[in-house]
Amino acid sequence: MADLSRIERSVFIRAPRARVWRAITNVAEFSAWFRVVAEGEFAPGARVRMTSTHPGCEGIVFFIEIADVEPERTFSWRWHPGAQQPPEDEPQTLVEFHLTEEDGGTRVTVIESGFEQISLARRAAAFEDNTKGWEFQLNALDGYVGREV
Amino acid sequence: MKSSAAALFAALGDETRLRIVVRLAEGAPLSISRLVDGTTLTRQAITKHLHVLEGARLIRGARQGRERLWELNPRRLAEARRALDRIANEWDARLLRLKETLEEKD
Repeated sequence: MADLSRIERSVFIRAPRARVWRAITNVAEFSAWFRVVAEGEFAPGARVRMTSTHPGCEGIVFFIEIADVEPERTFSWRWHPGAQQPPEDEPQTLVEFHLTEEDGGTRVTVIESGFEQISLARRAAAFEDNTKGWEFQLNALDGYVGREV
Repeated sequence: MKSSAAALFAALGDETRLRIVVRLAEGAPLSISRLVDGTTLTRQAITKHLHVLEGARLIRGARQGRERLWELNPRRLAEARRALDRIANEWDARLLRLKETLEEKD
């Protein structure tokens, strides 16, 4: 049976590991592809404020708490999935980026874990509202680039 | 909807309950005695877990003769998987944007 407490996704990128690392951990570069405006520094323990620029979610503010920063290998944070302001004591999920060198490029693996916690309920609810938008966007992406797992 | 999803994932966030769900997913409805077999848990402990799963509508009990048999509610399990799939799709989209950004500029 599929594991319902975590998500793992990966993508191969034709770029050197140092370059990929910069795109993920440089606040300005991260902001562009993650579709946010991030204010702060990606340093362990830092709480970074993010404002979404994603079409349909513009202006929504959320925070991430940086966990580990291990240059060119691992970058991780904790957050409350979903857009609304979560209750103080709500558990967070952990998002980890792992970078490994592969022939001709870099593999980026994202693991998000902790979904057995209650916070998924909010995220699931948030996604209910956005389902149509996401499906449309993903269909467009699927047609453009084959999904790489 | 919100609290129902909360109950669903809270119910699945326990190893014993997840194991019960996996066993029931194998197909046939099972009695409590069968579910206790092969575990170190008491009948009372298993009963408690079954009630949590029933509360989240992941399983349902049906009386058969003198025994109560438990079976999986596959629709509810599919809902849980769909919610997670949507989040996974979001990561796919982000990783593709990262890939496109890097491969087009460098």
